[in-house]
Amino acid sequence: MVGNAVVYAPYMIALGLLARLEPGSWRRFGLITAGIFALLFYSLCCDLLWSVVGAAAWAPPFAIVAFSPMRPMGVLIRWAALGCCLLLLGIIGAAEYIFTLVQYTMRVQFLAVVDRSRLPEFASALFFSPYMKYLYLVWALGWLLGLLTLRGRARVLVVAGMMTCGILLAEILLYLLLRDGSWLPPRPMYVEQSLFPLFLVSAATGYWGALRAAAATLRPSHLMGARSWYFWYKAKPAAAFIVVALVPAAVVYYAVSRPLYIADLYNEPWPKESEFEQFFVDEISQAVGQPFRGAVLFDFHDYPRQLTVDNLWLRSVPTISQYGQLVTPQSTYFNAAVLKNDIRLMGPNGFMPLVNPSPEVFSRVLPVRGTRYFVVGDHIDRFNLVSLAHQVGQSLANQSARPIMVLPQGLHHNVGPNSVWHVYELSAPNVGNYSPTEVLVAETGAQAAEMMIQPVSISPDKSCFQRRSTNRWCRRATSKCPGFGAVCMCPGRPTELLSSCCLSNSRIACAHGAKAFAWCVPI
Amino acid sequence: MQEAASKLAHAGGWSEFVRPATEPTRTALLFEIGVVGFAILGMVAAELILAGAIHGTNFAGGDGKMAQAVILAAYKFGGLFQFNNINPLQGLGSQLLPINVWINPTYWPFAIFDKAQAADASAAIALGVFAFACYVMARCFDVAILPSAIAAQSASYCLRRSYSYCSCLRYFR
Repeated sequence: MVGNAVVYAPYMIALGLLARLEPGSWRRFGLITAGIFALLFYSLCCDLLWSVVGAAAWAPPFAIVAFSPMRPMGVLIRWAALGCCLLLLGIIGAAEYIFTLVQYTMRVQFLAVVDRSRLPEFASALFFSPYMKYLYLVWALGWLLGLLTLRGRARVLVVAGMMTCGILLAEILLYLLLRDGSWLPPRPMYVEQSLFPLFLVSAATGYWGALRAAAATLRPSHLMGARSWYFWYKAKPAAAFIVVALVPAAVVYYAVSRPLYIADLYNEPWPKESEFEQFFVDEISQAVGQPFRGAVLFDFHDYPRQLTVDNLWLRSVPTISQYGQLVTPQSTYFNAAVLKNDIRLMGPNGFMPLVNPSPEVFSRVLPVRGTRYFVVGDHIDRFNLVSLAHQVGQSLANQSARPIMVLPQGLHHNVGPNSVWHVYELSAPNVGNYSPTEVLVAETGAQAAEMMIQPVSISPDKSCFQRRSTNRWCRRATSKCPGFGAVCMCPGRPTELLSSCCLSNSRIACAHGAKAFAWCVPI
Repeated sequence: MQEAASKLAHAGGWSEFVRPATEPTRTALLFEIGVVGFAILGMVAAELILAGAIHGTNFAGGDGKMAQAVILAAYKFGGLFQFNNINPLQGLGSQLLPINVWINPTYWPFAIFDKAQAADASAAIALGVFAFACYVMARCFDVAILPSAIAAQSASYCLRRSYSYCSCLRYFR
């Protein structure tokens, strides 16, 4: 993502500032420490999750630079600066926020289940790019030259690049070898991307050192006359501008002289499904100040469907499915324990309830979660889901007595020009108008899930609690919504989730826009 | 100017012939700003020309499109300077991806331009910021102006285009 560049950039500057920190005045120490802290904090504020990846990647070069040069006082000062930054992050609450946010994800809580296969392409671009190995070779040569020709801080940069690369390669090896264990740190591929600028700049520094050394060897005055020296002296400023114009000029030249087919080679237009989009925009598009009108759920997840969903999100159409790093543990547990879905299908970044293998439970809990439309499309049916999805959709549409919409599917699905979406409308979706009627207490998440799986019949006009949990955090409470016997999670930040959903005024939370009523499992 | 350039181009403790770059004079500073500004703005301009010639390389694929949707959702549904929002469009009560559209300049174009133009402008801003950071890092390690600028240009450009052209990295995708 483009924004990552700005998230990672502060780490580079902070590393440079750390390298300039030496024993001396306290004012200088304070300024540099404040600068490093501000940069790290800015990175965290820009995008906390990617900043954490950046921090994990840049930790080794920071440690290497903190130890270089190995003079006790200097090392102490640099580590003190880093320690002050970490302390400040703790004091202002940033560290706690990082911990909470990262913990409150299914990729951390259910890592053993959703951890992706240890494919080599997740380890390094070396395994899927035919060019990457050349980059590593070029860097290695640069570092070698730098080690031989440089002194001082420039050499520290080269050492930092080289040693960090060694650590990365070790990490890649571990990642590939430890196939049976779970991998909690960022995947080496992301670390490699994050460290790319360090490798390139440090290698370039090595080449610069070699060039400088070569120039020093060739510089003796007997090789060049006084007039030549005068010429170079005068030409240098102009030469500097010419040299830095070379890369942009090459880029522009490529842009102008590119083969015609390149122009749209990488261009993947947004899906064109105007009728489909307009239907959902009219019916359930979200707007500030407007009530929630329900969400849409697709029958399956694949890349073309993801493009369609992206297109709907762009138009503020809410979906039950989710794609991102912050899928909650509760929704994942719900998917696995209640709907019996294989959560590995979506990996650590997705939430997608599927009709299979529990179509009966699926169709019962669908409205509770705010689903207003269930959409089944034409696609290559690798998992034999389409016919079952149509059956469930038809059953739901019969209950609601609403017509089934048939809308044309976009060409990006590659299933022919006559492919269509079938849009089934559900009756009585929970759009924040459900009220709890009874609170049942379960000892474990599994028990709570079992309660939700069982159908119950509660009179719809029963509109208040019969029994309330007295547990302040309600860790063992579940509740049921009228007539459906299943409950879901209520929107909220980690801390709010427990307090707003589980306290006795949960009904208010529902009335204020929660898509479904509260269900808390031990966290 | 020439004197300053002479000092800076060979700085870094080479020999007695030059003085280190860490003793900048006003002229040297102006020269440095001029060279670096020219290098980075040149890269940004070249990037914009390239984005105009080769379409759809910014915010590409399913992830890129999802990112655009999240950015626009943050602008539409998030309060001013809030980045800790509930996701109004996805899932069951999770948080919107915590990208901060208010302080990350690469997202500002989405508040102004159409999404295709915004994606290209965003990438150009990211390139500029990234190149500047690379440059500052190199300079902090006493690398001279010219190699620092070239390294910054190369690093940012390699990252920028490596995914599309070399299938290497998805950094700027």
